[in-house]
Parts: sequence; structure tokens; C-alpha cells
Amino acid sequence: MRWLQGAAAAVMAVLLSACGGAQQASAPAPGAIPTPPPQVADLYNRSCRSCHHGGAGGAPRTGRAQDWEPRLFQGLDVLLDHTISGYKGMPPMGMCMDCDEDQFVGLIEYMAGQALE
Amino acid sequence: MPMNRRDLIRQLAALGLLSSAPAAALAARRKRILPWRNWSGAQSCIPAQRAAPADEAELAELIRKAPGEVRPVGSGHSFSALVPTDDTLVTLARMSGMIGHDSQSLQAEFWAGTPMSQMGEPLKAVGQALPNMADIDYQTLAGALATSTHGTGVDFRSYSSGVTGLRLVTADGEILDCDAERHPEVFQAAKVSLGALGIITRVRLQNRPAFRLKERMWVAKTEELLEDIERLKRENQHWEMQVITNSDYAASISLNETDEPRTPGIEEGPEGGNEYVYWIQKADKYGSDVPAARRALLNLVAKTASFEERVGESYEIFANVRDVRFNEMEYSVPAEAGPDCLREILKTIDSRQLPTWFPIEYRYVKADDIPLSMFEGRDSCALSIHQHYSMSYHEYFAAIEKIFWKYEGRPHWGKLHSLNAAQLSRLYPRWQEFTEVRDALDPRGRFLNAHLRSVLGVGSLR
Repeated sequence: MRWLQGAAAAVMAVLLSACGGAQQASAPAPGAIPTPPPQVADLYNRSCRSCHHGGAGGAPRTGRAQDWEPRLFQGLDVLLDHTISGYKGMPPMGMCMDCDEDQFVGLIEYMAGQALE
Repeated sequence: MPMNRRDLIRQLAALGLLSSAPAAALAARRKRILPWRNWSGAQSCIPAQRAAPADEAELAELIRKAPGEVRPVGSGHSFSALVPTDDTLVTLARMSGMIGHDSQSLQAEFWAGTPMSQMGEPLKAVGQALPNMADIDYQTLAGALATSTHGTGVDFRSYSSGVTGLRLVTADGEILDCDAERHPEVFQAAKVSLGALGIITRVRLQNRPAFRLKERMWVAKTEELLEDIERLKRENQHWEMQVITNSDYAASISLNETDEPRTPGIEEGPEGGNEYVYWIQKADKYGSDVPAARRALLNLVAKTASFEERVGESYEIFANVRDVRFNEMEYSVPAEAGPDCLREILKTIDSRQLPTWFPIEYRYVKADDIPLSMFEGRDSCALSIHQHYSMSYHEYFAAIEKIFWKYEGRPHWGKLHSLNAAQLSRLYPRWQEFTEVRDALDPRGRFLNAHLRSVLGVGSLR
């Protein structure tokens, strides 16, 4: 946290207060996150959880339908493009070096809480 | 027999193909070529084969049979082109976790594919901790060792110095157990080996008893911190600063061991600073045309900042979430040259109005004795410059790299630089020790991609 926050917070603290502040990520309440299905549990825990559990950097939070709704609206192809090529804070491949496309879809479906069409 | 459109539809329906059309369309969409890209997105490739062996036997068989190059990939957090290959890309993602530990010696063995972020808790469970850690923990253990990844602290070396044993699968599929007694010359070279000697599958590490850290962060004038640097780096176990470019200030950060209780909620709250990036980008966009005003504003804002102290387990405090992507160049210069090198970098950014708004990271690392370690034979100061992933880094990095050369800097193997073997071999007194081991283990260069052939000075056999 201190990496960019240290310098950036120093720079921007006043500006943020003047602009009403930034939305802070927060971890979902305990028990709010469904258990990942076995076929993606290991992949989720080692690649996705660190950002999507608590919404670090604005990442859509696991099990939070309101976070995923605007992403799902863009469709599967866009979601996969962003996952595979990276998008803003999302690193390419979601840092999963061995995931195939079906696994990416499975991970998105688990985090979004619904099947993709 | 001729078939009309209605007959065709009827027969397809009978076969169930029409009812599954959405699934068929989905499957068609999914058949895309999966490229590999690094964390920043600047490096990429389309490997012919991506493999994730489950164990060492499977890995050895894969290496024996794979045509062409074989390159290992960890978490993809290197900025340099260590990974890209057109041939076989191997991840050890399925070889992860603690293998065992020794309470007497405070050593533990891990699979090399273990993410650094997943080492702290199992070590804590057996009463151990890594003596020092980098400020991110995205890397895998193998990736961090391959590039001599480090934290900060004048009495602390890189991760690679903590290795007491390792297992290597070589180009012909042989499995070598290496330590101070077994294959000692391979062992010493393999501690920092860029994945060029073979694929390291397991690593034994010298640890210390588990401990807590207290983090304190404050903002001060960069020049005042530099004037006080001998005290800061000696009185703090881990000290670094993040220099705010286009201002006169830096965030100074100290980490020291403590028995104080854990502060509440250290795992929550704003993570990584992404929430600030929009505003920083705006300030840069509109302020860069009036640099004097921008500097005055940044100085004013910096002076008002204050931060809460944090106490937690060592691995919780060392590591940070970095969800703002960037590209990075880092050079390590002799420790005593650090302040002057930083001053010249800042002066150059200002005088040339180089486009950047990311902080400069300034850290210290203790000397080691590993042939290809950036810290071999000298206490070092590591200076890192960054550029947001969406901005061009070429002009900025090229201007600063010349300053690093002036101070006899050695580039971080996992970060961007423009050197090749001709220059690098002059920076490393024990260069030949490494190249002799590499030549013996992999004479055909099966673990070398184009980047490694350039930095190690090995011609292509194709």
C-alpha cells in the first residue's frame, strides 16, 4: 500500500478532499462470498483473490452483482479481451499463466455469480 | 438426393445442432489464440506450447521432448524480455506450496512455483519468516530468485542470498540437487540465473523466527533526507524513500521489528493508490505546461500529508498491493553513489521536462557473492524509475539510463534496460563463472530466448 499511496497520497490528499474524496474499496462482509467451485478454486485463490476479494484498485468484487453488472453488459468477448490482454489495473491473463479460455470463463462466472452467454 | 433449406433445418434440428446453437457460438468465440503478456503488457509472445507440469518427472519429460526453446514463466512480473518465446512456455503454477521445514535450523523448502504472497502464512505457522521481503509479493519464488529480487535495508541481501539448496532440471532432463556440497559451482550460479541454466523446481531457504514490523511513513524534503541519509539507513532496519517527481519532497518509509500489538484493519482500506491515479494524471496533464506552478502545488500538498503507523506480521507489512500498472527501470549503483545519482536524475527530469509523474524508489541492499547478482561484491543503492503503463517510457528511460551508466550501475535483470553482453560482462567481475556453468549445462542454449542470447552473448543455433 505504501508504494504508490505514500507518494500519491502525499500529493493528492488535499485535492481529494476538495473533490469529495475517492471511493474506497472494502472487503465484503464475512460469509458474503460464495465458496469457489472446485474446478476454479485453486486458480481463483492464487490468481484472482488478492484483488477481487476486496476490490483492490476498483476491481469488481467477487459475489457483488452490482460490481459486475456493467462489465457483464459489455458481453463475454469484451470481458475475455480485458482478462487476456489486461485492462487498466487488471494484469494480462489475471496473472494466471496456465489458465485456458474455458477457465477464464469459469472464473468470471464464479466471481460475477452468473453464467455467461 | 437434393435437399432444400427446410429439409436441412429439419435434419439439423433432429441432430440437436440448432438447439445448441448458443453453445456452439460460445465455443466458436472461445477459440482464440492466447498470447502471453507480462504484468505491464509491454512484453508479449505467442508460444507454440504452454505447459504446466504437475511434478518434476513430468517437467523433465517435457524438457526432453520439447522442440526448440523452453522458457519458464513465474508471475510475469518482469519488465524485461526474459520470458517471451515462440516455442515452449512452462509455468510451475502446479508446483506450489511448502514442502517441509526444520525447526532447528529455521530452514524451509518450497516448490519454486510458490507465489511469494503465499509464503508468509505457512512460514508463520511453523514459527518462521523470511528475513526481508520486496515491497510487492506478486512474484513466484523462482522468478524472484532468478532476478535477484530484493527489499531494502543496509544489512539485508536479496532473496537469492537466503537459498541453502535447490533442485534444477537441466536441458537434458537430468535432475540436479545443488547446495554448498553438491554441485557447488552450479549452486552458486543458479541462485541468480535468469532461468538460463535449467528450471528450478524446489528451493530451501534460511529463515528467521517470525516477527512483527512497524511501518512509519512521513514526508520530508528530498534534499533534507539525503543529507540525513547515513543516520536514516543505519537507525532503521529497513528504510527507503519514494521521491515525488516534479516536487521537492519524498515519502520516507521505515520498517523496524517490534513487539507492539498489531494495528487493526491493516489489510483493509485503500489499496495500491489506484484511487489517486485519476487525480494525479489530471494534475500532470494540466500542470505540466506550467511546471513552476505544478511544483508549488505539489510542494504545498506534500507538506500537509501525514500517515498512520502500521504494525503487523512481517509479510503483511513488507508487501503491498500494486494495482496501478507501470513499466520500470532499475539500476543498482555503489551505495555511496546513491545520493549523487538521485540528485542528477531529479535535475535531469526537471531540466528536460521529462514526462513522468510516478515516484522514484530509492533503496539499499547489502553486498553478496553470487556471480550474476546486481549486488555482487558491493553494497548497493537501488534506484527505480517508473512510467504508467499507458505512457511511453522510451524517452524518459533512455535519458535516465545514461546517468545510471555514469555511476557504474548494474541493471535489474527483471527490469527494462538496453545493455547487452559486451557491457554487462564488464560490470560483473565473476561473469565468466556463470557463463562457464551455463555453457556446460546447456550448450545448445535451449533455455535461451533472443533477449537472453543478447544479454549473455550467446549466438543463435537456429
